[in-house]
Order: sequence, then C-alpha cells, then structure tokens
Amino acid sequence: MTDLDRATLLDQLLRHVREELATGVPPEQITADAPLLEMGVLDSVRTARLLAHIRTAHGVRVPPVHMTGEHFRTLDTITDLILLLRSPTASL
Amino acid sequence: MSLYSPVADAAARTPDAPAVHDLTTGLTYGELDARADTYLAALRGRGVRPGDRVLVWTDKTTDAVAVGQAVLRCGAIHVPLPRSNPRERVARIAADARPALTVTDHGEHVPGLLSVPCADLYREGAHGPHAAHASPHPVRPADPAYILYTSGSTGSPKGVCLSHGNALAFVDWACRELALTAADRLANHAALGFDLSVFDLYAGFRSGASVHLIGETLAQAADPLVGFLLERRITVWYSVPSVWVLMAEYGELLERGPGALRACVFAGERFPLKPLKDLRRAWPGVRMLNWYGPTETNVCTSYEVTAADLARTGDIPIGSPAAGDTVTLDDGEIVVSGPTVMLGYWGGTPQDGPYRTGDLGRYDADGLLEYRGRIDDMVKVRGHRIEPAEVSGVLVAHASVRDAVVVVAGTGLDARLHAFVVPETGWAPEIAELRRHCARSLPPYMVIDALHTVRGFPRTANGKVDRAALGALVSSGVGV
Repeated sequence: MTDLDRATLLDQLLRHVREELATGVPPEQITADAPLLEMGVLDSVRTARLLAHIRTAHGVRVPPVHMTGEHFRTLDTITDLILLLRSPTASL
Repeated sequence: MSLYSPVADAAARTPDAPAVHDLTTGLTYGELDARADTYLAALRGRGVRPGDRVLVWTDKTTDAVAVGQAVLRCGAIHVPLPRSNPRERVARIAADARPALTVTDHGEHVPGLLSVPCADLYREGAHGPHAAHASPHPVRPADPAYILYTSGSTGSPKGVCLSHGNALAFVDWACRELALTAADRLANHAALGFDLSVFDLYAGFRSGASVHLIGETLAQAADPLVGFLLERRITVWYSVPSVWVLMAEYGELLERGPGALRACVFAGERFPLKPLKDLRRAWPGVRMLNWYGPTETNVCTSYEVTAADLARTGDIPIGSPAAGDTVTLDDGEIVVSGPTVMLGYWGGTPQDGPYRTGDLGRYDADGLLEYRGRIDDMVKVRGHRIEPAEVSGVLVAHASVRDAVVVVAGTGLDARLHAFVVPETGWAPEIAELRRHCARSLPPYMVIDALHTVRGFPRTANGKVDRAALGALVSSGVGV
C-alpha cells in the first residue's frame, strides 16, 4: 500500500463524512484528525451508514473485535483500519 | 440473598464455566470471583466502608464488572458511569453522590475527586495486607446496591437508588420468565449505567450463564453487532428497539440471523410496528418480549409478541404487571408499587408508597396496558431518557445564549434534539460551538442536533413556553 493510495482513501472518507452523513458539523471542521466520537459525528445511525459505505465502496466488513474507540477515533485511524483489514496478511 | 451472591454461588458450583467476556478477554466464574475478592481487599485497604459510594467511570470491561462486584461485596453502593460521560458531568454526579473513591481505566481526572486506576487498585488488592480471607459484608435486602444517574429536570443528573432486594426481585422474575440456564449466552448491549444492563449482568450471573459485553463503540455499529450476535452464539439479547431496527436495516440481521438466538427482548421506547412484524415473520422460533418500566422501577410490565400481532395496525401493548409489581392507572398515569420500586433518589426523601411514573397509559380491549406518552417534557431519543431542561440549562450557561428551549422532533431513528435559542445582544450562537459546549457537560446522546435562533418563544394562553408549537415549527420545516 503506497502513501498515495492511503491519501486517496482518506480523501474519499473525508468527502463521504462531510457530504453524505448529515453530521450537523461544518465540513471544514471534519478533518483527518478531528475526534469523531467527541464531536458527536458518529452516533449509531451515522456509524451504521459509514460502515455500509466502507463495505460497498472499499470492500471491507469491519469485524466486531475492531469496533473500538481506538480505531474509530478519527478518520486517520479509520483509514489505517481499512488498510489493515484489506491487507492480505491481516490477522483477523 | 444479596446482589453479589449470584457470582459467588456460580463460582462455587461451576468455577470453570465462562462468566463474562469483553472483546479481548474472558473470565470464568472462579476467576471473576477471585478478582472481585482482590478488588474487595483493595477497596477495604482504601478505607471504603459499607454504605459508601464508589464511582466506576470506565469502559465496559471484565474488570469493570469485577470492581462492581467488589463494591457490592464491600456493602458499598455501586455507581457505574460509562466512559463517554464527560468530566464536567462526572463532577456534577460526584457532587451529588459524594463518593469515597472513583475507579477509572483512563487518564482523565476530575479535580477534587479521589480516583485510582483499575490496574493500580488490583495490585493493591493482590499485595496488600487485606489480601487473605476477604469475606463479603453481609447485606439486607433493603440495603442500597447501586445508583443509576439519569437526566434530571432541575438541570442536574439525578441518582436513582435501588436496593439489593429491588434488583433481585426483577432478576429472579426475569430468570423464570426467560427460563435462563447455565447454557445461555447473554449479550450486554446497554451501557453499565443504564438499567437494561441489570438484566444482562445479574440475570446472567444468577443463571450461571455467560455474559458478553459490548463496548461503547461496538454498541453503535449495526453491522458488526450482527457479527457479534452470530460469532458469540448469543441466545438472549436485550436492547432498545432502535438497535434491532438498525441491525435489520444496516446489518442484514434477518437474513444472517438468528444464529443461536432464542429470545429477543426490548424496552425503553416504542418498537415501530413494521420492523417488528418483519422480525416476527422472519424468526417465528424466537421469543420476543416487550418490557416496560422507568429506571425507578426497573421492569414492571411485560408483553410477549406472538404471531397474532402480525395482524395489528397499532403499537403493541406494554402488557401486564411483572416482577411481583402492581401496576395501576390513576387519572391515566401509570403508577407502580411492589418489590422493584426504588428506595428513592439519592439525597432525596425515601420513596414512600407507589411510584408515579409520569407515563400515560390506557387499557386495550384485552385489558393489557398501552403506553400513551408523557405527562411532562421528558423525551426519549433512541431509548435514552432526556430531560430537555437539563440540556437547556447547559445551553444558557454559554455566553452567547440568553434563553433556550430544547424539544425533540421525529421519532425512532429520526429523533433529533432541536435547540431554540434567544441570543445575548451582540452574539450570534453557532451550532458547532454550542455542540462542543454541550459535549463538555453532557453525555453524547444529549448533545443538540440542530439550532434555531429566535427572538422569543411562542407562549400558551397561560404564559408557558408552547413546546408543541416549537415542535410543529421543526416538523413543518419552517425557518424560524
């Protein structure tokens, strides 16, 4: 996985959360390192929708064991999680 | 019989049976019992006495459960606070509960509060002078066991205090009602500070079954929750209806399930009829129970959904009295008396006689109770109980806000908290800033979703704020 791929993935996630999730948070405040849970961006409905997006757009179904505050702290950490789950050596 | 006996009893009977699991670790009954004793020694070493309050402000982990058991064994009062409570709210709860000790598993700290990390407490217990022969403090059924803090209409959280006997009356009824056995595997979806978790933990332990903790982040994630239900071969799952609806809508619940599930139980809000019928139709072999009761009484009525409900055109009833309680209507208000009714609000006068719920009810043609809404302003958002006055109280503490009224608009998954705000002269309140402000003082589910700046509030004929008119403004989509 190259840095460019990572940047593209992060960019797609940022766009999705800013434009599709109706978070009530101004788009410019949703950044790669914005604390999603603290800002109230990820409630149960929006988490469900974000996971559905990750599944359809990025081909990854997040297993329960990875649904932690650590992995879902920011869009940066979510990007890392998707890359981890997509890598063939991922230990699940 | 005390609320700590079930774990000790199961440990004596089946020490190697699984008791409690979180996402990473699991404890057998023998291990949970031993850890509870170690924590008990540590609490005593710290000078915690019977009747003292101990705040447990942690993630949902097996250790948080062991600490809770230790607090009960100490004869002290368990105050579970989900990790997502912000510091300021914990401080306000602490000001009310006046705890002897606060146990955490994170770096956050409330000034003036004596707190200790879980891991340190465990070490103290394992190596301290009290380590050997930690025998539990004998308790009576009427002794307080735990305090659950809920939203308060006076602007501060209020502590609902329940006794060992209150909890056991419900737990024993629930074990019988669901015929729980040691072979059952219960999911724990609700936060430990929320009364649904009393069923998961204590009915589980009472039956010698295993309890599978769902952390706060996983609890929000519909699709992985379905994975969890299947992987853990859950047999009994209790949660608010919106969790079932989200799992069906976003997690292919009906197609992937039910796995080993034999009972799904829900409470806390109405279950929208269509998804309920879908569930019933898809899983005819799974029992479905609709429970009702405020935190002050835990569950006091129950209704079992059957194939006959597929013909319904209106909401299912909340059913008939449960857990040994007597439930009546007084001028349309649901009134509860019996063994599950709380001791009282912490710091308030003891609850004497029947508890008036503030919920409205009526009997259907079969003599079953139906839920008809609230007498006051209290609202539910995805099963979370919210006093709008607590949220508006936080809003008016912001420099830009002169006055505020909070209403809920929409139902079920679409329920949103709307704030109507009269600004201070020269200020223009901003939604992002007010949300940050709310998040500093309130749990995530009480943070406002939308802001409407107004010059004044509509009033009723007798001068009160016309909340219905504000709600109507939101639903009509009219800019205000």
